[in-house]
Amino acid sequence: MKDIILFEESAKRDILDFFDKSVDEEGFIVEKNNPTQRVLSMDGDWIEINSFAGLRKGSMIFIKGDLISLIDLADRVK
Amino acid sequence: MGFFDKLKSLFNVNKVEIRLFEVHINSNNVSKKIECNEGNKTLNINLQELESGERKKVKQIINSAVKDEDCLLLEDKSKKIIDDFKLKDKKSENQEILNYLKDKIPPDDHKALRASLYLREKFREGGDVSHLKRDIMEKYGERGKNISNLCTAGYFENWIIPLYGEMSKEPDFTLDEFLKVYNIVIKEAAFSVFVHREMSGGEVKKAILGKIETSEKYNIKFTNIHGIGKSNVKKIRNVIMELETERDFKKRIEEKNSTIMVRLNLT
Repeated sequence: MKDIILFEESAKRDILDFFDKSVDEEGFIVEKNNPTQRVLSMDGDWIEINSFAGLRKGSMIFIKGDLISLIDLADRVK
Repeated sequence: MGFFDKLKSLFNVNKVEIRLFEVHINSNNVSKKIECNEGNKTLNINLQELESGERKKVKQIINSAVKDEDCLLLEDKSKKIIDDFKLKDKKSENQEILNYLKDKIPPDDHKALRASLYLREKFREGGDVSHLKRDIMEKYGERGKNISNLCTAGYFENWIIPLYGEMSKEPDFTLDEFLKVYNIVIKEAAFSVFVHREMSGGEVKKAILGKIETSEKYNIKFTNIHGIGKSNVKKIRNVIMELETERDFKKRIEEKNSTIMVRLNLT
């Protein structure tokens, strides 16, 4: 796999902060500068902090931690 | 300067070949600010322990790593899942099933099957797979659930692949013919009996009666019976004849050479 930086669950909010994102009251990831703007996954879904699994390049692609998204990632970053 | 070198410089980590280390980020009040583990080659950074200047620099380094160096930022437990998935996906028995069915079943079904084969591996290990099943269902719906159930029960290699094999022997075979039957199998799996060579006539009858009971319990008005091979076709026909004297139903039989599908419409 390409270069990876790993993070534990405890660091999720800090990692999001690094990319100017935060979490709204319902647990969805939002733009820090515009908290009404929820971030979208590649499938066009909002992303809950519990299912946030990472980031990769592109227009800041947010990775979800469900099995299907991880299989897709495994194929993309062989 | 890549992100490894930048981190090395920032925290004065003077280990040779730091680039071979894996960077792990956490945020707690237990770990040290920086921990270099030569044994498992990891460099742990605890964000909670950083001074504000250091945190700002780490933010810049990680930001740049993702945006400019095409680095992947991934939760550690997701990496474990990916690594585990790749291992199990590569297993020859799983690859055989996937390769055989690749251009024969719909692409989304193939993806659902691939995820289901992984679920089956975890199930066999004794793990809790409910969250995996939920992920498959969320993406692929009821059809994904049925594929997952059929896969776990071994029906893809023991039934669906032999079904294709048998049907494709016919000179006028088309993929559409196979897909017609395949789609019924997938859609109506819960209300179907799949007859195997090892089943006696008595066992076939018992299975059908059991499925009829289930169908009636949930107010489903039908039960399907599938069979491949001449002996199974004959077995099913005999059992249906027997059942007709005992139960009330309308039957619809589609038989082509060595495959049979019977739909019993229950009254």
